[in-house]
Amino acid sequence: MITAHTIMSEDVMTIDENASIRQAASIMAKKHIGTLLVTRNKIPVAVIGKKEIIRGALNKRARTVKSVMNKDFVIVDRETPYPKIEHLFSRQHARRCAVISKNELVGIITENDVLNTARDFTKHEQIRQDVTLAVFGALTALFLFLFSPFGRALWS
Amino acid sequence: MRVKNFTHPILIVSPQDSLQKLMQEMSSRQISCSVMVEQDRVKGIVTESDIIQEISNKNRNFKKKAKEIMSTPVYTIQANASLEKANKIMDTKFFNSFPVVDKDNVIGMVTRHDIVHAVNHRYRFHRNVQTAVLFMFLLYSLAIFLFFHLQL
Repeated sequence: MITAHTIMSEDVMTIDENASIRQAASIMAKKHIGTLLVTRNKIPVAVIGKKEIIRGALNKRARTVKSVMNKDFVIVDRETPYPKIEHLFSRQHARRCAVISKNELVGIITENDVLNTARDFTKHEQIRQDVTLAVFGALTALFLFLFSPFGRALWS
Repeated sequence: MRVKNFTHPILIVSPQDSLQKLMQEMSSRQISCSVMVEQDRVKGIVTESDIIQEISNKNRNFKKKAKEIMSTPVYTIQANASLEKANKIMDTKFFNSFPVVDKDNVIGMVTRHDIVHAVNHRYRFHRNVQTAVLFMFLLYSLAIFLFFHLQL
């Protein structure tokens, strides 16, 4: 079964809420990532993305991550099943999800992770459905043949 | 369905515009990338990542011109291209969004989010059709079975 653990990115980067916006931008640029988890005493409290960094850079009064961070994020357990995560992203409009295990941060799920999983899941489902349809089709054809006059002549 | 059915407005700026202006426009309009157009030709693209790179510099200068930080060449997709083609390009080039052009004119941008949603939506439609066909098969075979069984 697909769970949060299967689809999350493990190389989650964190930054303290009192760090500067430039430090956050520097980590993003070096690691080629679009989201950082903001921590307070090592506990995730918010996220910061590229849009927040740009907004912070434009605002001369905003100096620390704390002033622009986005508290709109969700925490899930690593064993949370995929349908529940998809529901969070599609129905409750979550954009980023921190994954924890035994109260420790183990990963992050972004919208792209969910979309990629949905696509792979779709491909897999499509193949499964095509095979099911083919088997049913073949069984139905056999069934019809057996009960047709030709089929009955064979087994009577 | 074609790419043109999923295009979003895109920010079109001149390569001479300042980075500050670009950031303000992108931030206020919640757009993640902008294209530089000069003489009706796409010259370059500036994404949020390019801006983050500049912000991370010690000697950052928001008065820089857009042409100094833009990325080239720009990968574009024709408005009449299929969704599958867009999906494939996004996978192979690792893009999250790119400009949509009609001949040489930029008409908008398409994002990974929209493409995957559209592909999934189409899959759900096909799944419903397949299920309906399957049920019809089953009903038909049941009818045939009952017909011959009663004759027996």
